[in-house]
Amino acid sequence: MAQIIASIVLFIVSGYFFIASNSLPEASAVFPKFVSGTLIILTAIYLFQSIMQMKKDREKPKQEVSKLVLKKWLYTFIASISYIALLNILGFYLMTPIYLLSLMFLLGVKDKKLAFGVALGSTLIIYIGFSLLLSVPVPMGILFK
Amino acid sequence: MALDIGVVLGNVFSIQTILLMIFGVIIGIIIGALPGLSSTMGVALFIPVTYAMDPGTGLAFLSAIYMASTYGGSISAILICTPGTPAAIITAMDGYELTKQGRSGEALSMATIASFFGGIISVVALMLIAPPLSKLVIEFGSAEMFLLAVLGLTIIVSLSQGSMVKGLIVGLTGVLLATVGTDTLTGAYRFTFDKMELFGGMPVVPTVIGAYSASQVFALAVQKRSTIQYDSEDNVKKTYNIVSVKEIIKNGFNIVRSGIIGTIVGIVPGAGMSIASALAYNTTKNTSKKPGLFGKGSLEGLAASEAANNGVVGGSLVPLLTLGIPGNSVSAVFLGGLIIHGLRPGPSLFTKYANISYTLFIGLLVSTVLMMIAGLVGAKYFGKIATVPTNVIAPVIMSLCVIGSYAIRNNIFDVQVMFAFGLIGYAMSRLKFFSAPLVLGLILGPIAESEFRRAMMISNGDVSAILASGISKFLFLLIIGFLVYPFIQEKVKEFREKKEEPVVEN
Repeated sequence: MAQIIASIVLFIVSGYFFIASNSLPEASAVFPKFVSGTLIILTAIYLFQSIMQMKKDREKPKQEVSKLVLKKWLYTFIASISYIALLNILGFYLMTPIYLLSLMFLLGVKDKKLAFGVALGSTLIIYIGFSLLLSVPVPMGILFK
Repeated sequence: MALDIGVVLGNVFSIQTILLMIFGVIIGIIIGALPGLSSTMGVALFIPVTYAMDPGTGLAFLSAIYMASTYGGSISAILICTPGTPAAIITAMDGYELTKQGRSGEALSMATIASFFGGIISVVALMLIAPPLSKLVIEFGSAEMFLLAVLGLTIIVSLSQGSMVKGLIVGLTGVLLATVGTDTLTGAYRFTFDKMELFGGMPVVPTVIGAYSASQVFALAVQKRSTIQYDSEDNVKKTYNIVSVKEIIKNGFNIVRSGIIGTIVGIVPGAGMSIASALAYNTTKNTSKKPGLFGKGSLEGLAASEAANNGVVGGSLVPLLTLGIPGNSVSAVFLGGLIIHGLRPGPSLFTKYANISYTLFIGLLVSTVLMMIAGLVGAKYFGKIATVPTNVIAPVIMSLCVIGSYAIRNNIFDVQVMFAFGLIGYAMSRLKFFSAPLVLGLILGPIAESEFRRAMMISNGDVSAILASGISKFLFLLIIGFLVYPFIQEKVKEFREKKEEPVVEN
């Protein structure tokens, strides 16, 4: 099933590049067209192979994705995407400890000392390394400008 | 501008570089020791950090991480039978047996020494082989460069150990993504969705960080068991004897031979550390006076495996630096480290930028020494780190991915790209797609395209010009060879199975 979704995604992506290449000057369009065209063919082969494989696997017992794994994945996804979304608003040095602590607890970290230690410690190390030593700019957020 | 040893030594032995190499070695060992974190991910994660550094120092730093993480995998392999990196799988076999026998100290120190010598041998080989080899490419014109880029892609794809179709899909997707941006030859904007951030093309480093590191964050986060049992703690505390000098000398030939095997396997693109350590292990077993001990706690076997896998480090950099063809996944990501400083593989690295390359080489020698010191002094402490639960590590890695991808262009868009590729990379690993071809496609794709178009311009549209020279024909044959090779492999396997001949596996 997952392979079919992957094939559809691949078809859409390569199809987009293929069609979008038509509005490009010829010299620019040749290469993307060739590559996306080949990709479409390869995806078709992959889809075919996957369907053959799925037919063979029909007898085998299906692997269940445990609910716990799914929950953990969702937590990671939502926490990380919120982290990135809020970076420009609250700034890196505020968001990072919040993110680290929340995700650690969501993922089941029981040792509070370890969690706080790592969260604050890593933020500190990143601060020393990136801001002090390397002078690399870091998202500061609207609140702190 | 040729090589100036004075400048190189000044670079390498400056306080800043030495501190960075110490840092790189420590980080590398930790990354290696932590199961779930690989050298590839470690190098990818720290590429942005090198942006602010002098190129030679930056590359020396990255290769220190590479070398040290390869060694670091042996620590958790030995202490908790969980290889920190795939390279240490063979090490775990005998290493853990030794720990069970209360001899973890000997195992750890032997692994350290073996890794040291393997590493040194590979760097020396790198220094001797790379510069002359790079001269080969000087004669290459656009047609040859185009074919070389295609060859690089083909090799990694064909040796993808899995479906060739999947490998090609990933590789070509990388190439396709690389067409995003401004077409330098015509000035047209391709697939940029009017986003200014994409005018310069798909940001390579955030894509690499996303696909290799951020994707791992998801994998680590969903692991069922967050902590690994560390029940051999008593064994480490009880007796910590370092391996005797006599034992080291007894294994001298073994270590050197294994280091050479590792180096050669590293040079062959596509063949990685697992193959190197297995080959060295089996060779040593076959010539050992105590073959029965292998698998039950043989220091010989352990030394062979560790010397070989560190041998791969220098070896894999040979085809990468000279031809732009990575020896394995880590060196593929290393390409990103070169690109970020505006460097390209090839003869220029050994002529115009010789100082940079030699800073890398000598820096790597120094780092290998530092690695040995760190290992002899603190291996068991690094081992403790391996027990940090994955649900603590995963968020930290993600935050490093975030700051890393932001750091290069100060652009939140890059962070979004990184995250998107984190998801894509995770999906790819779940669907058993090999991710190494993605980086290659992204980097070699533009080279292939521009060289092809340049060749066309020179020949006025005559496509046969691509195969005009002898070198081109040879490269083309190699390309066909690598494309066909997996099918031949399959047929041979089927043929053998039909004849009911047992395939001897070790």
